[in-house]
Amino acid sequence: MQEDDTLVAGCIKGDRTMQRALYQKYAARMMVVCLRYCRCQEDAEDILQESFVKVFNHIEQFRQESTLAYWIKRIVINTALNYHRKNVYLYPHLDIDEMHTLGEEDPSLANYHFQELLSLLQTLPQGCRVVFNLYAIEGYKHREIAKALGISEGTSKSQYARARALIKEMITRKGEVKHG
Amino acid sequence: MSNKHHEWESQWREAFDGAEEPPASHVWKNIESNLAIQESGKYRRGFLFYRAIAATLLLLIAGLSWYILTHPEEADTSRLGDESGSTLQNESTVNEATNPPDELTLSDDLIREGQNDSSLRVAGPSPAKQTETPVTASSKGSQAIQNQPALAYQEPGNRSETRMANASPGKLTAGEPPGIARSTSRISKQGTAEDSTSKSPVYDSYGRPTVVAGNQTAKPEADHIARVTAQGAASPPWELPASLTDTEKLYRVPQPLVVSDKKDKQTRPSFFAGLALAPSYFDPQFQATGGPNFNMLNSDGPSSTPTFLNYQENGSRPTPLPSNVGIDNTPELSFTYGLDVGMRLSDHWVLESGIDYNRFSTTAETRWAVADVASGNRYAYVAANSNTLSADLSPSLITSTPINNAYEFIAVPMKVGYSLTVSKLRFTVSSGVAANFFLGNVISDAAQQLADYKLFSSDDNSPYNPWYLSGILSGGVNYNILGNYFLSLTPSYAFALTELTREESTIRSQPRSLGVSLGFQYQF
Repeated sequence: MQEDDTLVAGCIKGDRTMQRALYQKYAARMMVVCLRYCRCQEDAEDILQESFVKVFNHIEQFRQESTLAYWIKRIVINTALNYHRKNVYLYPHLDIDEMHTLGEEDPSLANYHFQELLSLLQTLPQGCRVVFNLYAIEGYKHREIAKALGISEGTSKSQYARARALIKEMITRKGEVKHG
Repeated sequence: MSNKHHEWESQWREAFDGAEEPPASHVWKNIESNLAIQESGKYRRGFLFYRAIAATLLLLIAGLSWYILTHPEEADTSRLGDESGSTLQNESTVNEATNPPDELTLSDDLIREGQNDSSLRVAGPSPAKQTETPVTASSKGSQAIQNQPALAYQEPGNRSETRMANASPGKLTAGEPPGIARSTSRISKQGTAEDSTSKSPVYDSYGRPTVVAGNQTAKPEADHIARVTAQGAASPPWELPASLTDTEKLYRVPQPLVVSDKKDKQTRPSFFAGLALAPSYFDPQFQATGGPNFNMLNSDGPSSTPTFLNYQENGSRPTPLPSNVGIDNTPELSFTYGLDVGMRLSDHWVLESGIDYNRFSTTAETRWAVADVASGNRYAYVAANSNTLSADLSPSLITSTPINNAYEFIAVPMKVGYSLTVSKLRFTVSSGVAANFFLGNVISDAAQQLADYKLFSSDDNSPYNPWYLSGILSGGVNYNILGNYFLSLTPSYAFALTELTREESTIRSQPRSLGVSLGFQYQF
């Protein structure tokens, strides 16, 4: 695998070989990111394709303030958010009663492969999935998520709580099935 | 409890840390084809622009070449120059006839000397063609000349010989200034006075010999000065006064004035005015001056400062709203409405000016919008209006939205042109400068889901200058449809000489435009 500096320099010149090399280096990791935000493989591939086109078109703006992987990941996440942007005002609000039913104990994820967790995420409603990804996996605060998505902080919190409740329920149910 | 939540979230992060899922092979093919399409689009736009320039230049060159090949003698400036020179010389001849300068007056000594010599010879530079032909006797005035033995006139040119044959002294030929006739009578008077008592040659005020035969006085032809050679017995050469060795005055052949209405009009400055409509393409050529990267998700991780998400914490609007949002403008069909005025300085040179109203359109894209809670309006957020929108308005992500940019200018051009006329066609090539006064920029959503945003140079933190200077190159053709009415077709290219945007702005702009003006002119 070539160094990132070499890849970036080649991509700035428009060298197709370097572009392909950069794609091959990061496509698989970014595909997982896309799958986390999407319900199906086709949507994830569309986002991945659009993201890498943006990467190559704006590669000259990469100023090495972070790693190349992180820079590409940011583009992928933003592309995913734009892809589902039209649904931002359709996020269902969590009922207050529903929130009280959430337990305090979170199930362990030690026995789950990432692909199982992926399929679990893909079963979540769109809004819940996006907020859960941004909060739990990317590590953003609810205030930041709310600004990025154009929603209120309360909505962000409620969406996350709903996602967490659904995940817990599905993991618990699957655990019961596993262990009989 | 919160710690447990954080642990649970850490488990999620660890589960996906380093996870990979190879995408399908067609994804790279799609990416490659998209890049190829974009690259060909860029080349096509640039190629189209330069192809238009090349086509215009070729058209002009072809027109000029055709004109030059079919009318090699059109630039009859040499003849006109000769005639003008001759005309000027005629005028000076007239002046000299009425007020002959002293240098043309023969000294008394020379006259007395010549009176004793029966033959005469004028020494001077030989003309290019030396033809000794006897003077024709077609005119009355030459009757005496005909009787003179061994005397021949050498004309510097055939025209003058013909004129000499046809002209009659004392009568004004077409276009001759009256002074010549007066000079003729004076000459004859002088001749008569000088010749009354002797056979020796007499000179008029110009030093021309008045041929004498017997007691007759020959009246010399009034419309030329000829070189006189003497035949017969050799005689010592005359010592001419210095004034008569001036070859210009010796060979000066006054030409009759040729009055041409057409040429008269062309040499006289004339004015024209017209109206024009120009479909055009305008490219503002925005460039980001540079700034921090897009940073919704900060490179150091979430919650680091500053990001535009938490700008309210640090109290100032963060700059990483990308400075290049919406700066890639695609020119759209635009129109310029113009009132043109001009002045024809000469046959070929023309000065043009006027006033044009330009309404240029471009399209761009943005993924950002701001919502003004007070008014309830949402506006497209682009680099141009990023600093003019209220700092309290927070941008939010939206789907990629096409936006229309409408730019309004008032332009005052000043051009100098060179034109060639072929029958009813007039080809003109001109160049100059124009002052372009910025009226405003309206940013609107193509889907009309966002409110229009109007940007003026007087707005606080507006990126635009109130005006900028541009250079103009144009070349076109006018067709005379009837009388003083012309139709005009003029492609032109304008390029910025100064920046449209302010120096402190986050974007730079040096616009250029290409248009084809269709117009109507009236020449006064």
